[in-house]
Amino acid sequence: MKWIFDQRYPLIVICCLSLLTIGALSLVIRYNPESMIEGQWKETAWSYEKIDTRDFVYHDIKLLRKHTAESWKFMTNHQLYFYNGHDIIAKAKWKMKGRGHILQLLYEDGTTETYDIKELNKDELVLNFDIGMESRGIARLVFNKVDRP
Amino acid sequence: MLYTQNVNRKLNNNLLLGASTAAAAAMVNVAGVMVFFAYTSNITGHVATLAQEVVKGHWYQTGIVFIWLMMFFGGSFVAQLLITGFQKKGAFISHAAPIILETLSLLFIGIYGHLYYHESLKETEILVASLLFCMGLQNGMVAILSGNQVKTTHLTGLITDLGREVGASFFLKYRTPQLKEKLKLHVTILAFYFIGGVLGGYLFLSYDFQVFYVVVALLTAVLYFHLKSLLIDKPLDDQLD
Repeated sequence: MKWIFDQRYPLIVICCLSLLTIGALSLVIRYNPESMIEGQWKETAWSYEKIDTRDFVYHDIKLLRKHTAESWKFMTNHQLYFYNGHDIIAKAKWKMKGRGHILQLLYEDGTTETYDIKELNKDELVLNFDIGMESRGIARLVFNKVDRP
Repeated sequence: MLYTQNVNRKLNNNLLLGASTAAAAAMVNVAGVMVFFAYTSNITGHVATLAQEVVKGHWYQTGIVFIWLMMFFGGSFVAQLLITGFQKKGAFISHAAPIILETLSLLFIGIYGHLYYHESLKETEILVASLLFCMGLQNGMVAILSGNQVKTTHLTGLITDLGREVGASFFLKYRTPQLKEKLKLHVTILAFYFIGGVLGGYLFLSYDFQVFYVVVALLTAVLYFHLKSLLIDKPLDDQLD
């Protein structure tokens, strides 16, 4: 343990912490959820989870804008278009929050929807409709990537 | 409230320091959750999240959460460096330096959020990192000055102590003046954290990022009382010298 009291100790600590931080920064620079989500995503599944009774679903689902869109297109300028076939059926603005785990949609009528991003990679996007910071979500939406913007 | 350290501190010093900084931390935390969807004054959840993101192989989130943890660590580290480094320049500079830095950082965050924030993910992550740095700074400063008796940015330890103390108070032989002082201190911090949280949430809903100006005003009041104590009252440090 003699090295702890060595004069080089502060330098060693600073070097170790700097290396760890640089490592973390390199991860952050390499992956970017905002770029990853850009493009067109086709909705492949819509399911409910963590619900005790179906009445709860039907009661709460009225508050939830159920998307009839077949695909969502996230644009670089943070616009989001909902497509049904080739027709745009709705528009919203999208924002990411937290550590890139929250997707907020702001509709033209002023309403806001918040989703937990459970999975986001180059092929798959899984969203849970958020009913609170620690919730597992009541609605689960699964998308597959169609193309880049 | 800032000018004495460790064993020289009286209950009133800790009460004032604990109450004001707990309220400030709660306001920052609640505002952080509401605008950034991230806790900004307690990090236990972030450590659990870090482990969860590693398990899931979410490397971007792993990197971000690690940097956030480092920022909280960095805040406490800088608080210790400032207090120890400026010790020869006197109690005011030494003890006030972390809170001056925290106040300036929060002022910058408030102004940036109020006037320039476009809600991009990068901005969100940098602002959360800055708030965690501020809270690390505050928690470090408060812990050093109170001789580890007070920590105001999170309540896990505090509620544990409170439960233990309430339990001990059921037995006559443990019902000492020291226990009464500790109970008073911990209940005060808990109450002010809750009041600060409610106030922070209400102010954020009404005034958005301008809530940070209120936190800055609160911390400036702490500094003012510190300066007043130093100039008008006779500080204990000087008496001891």
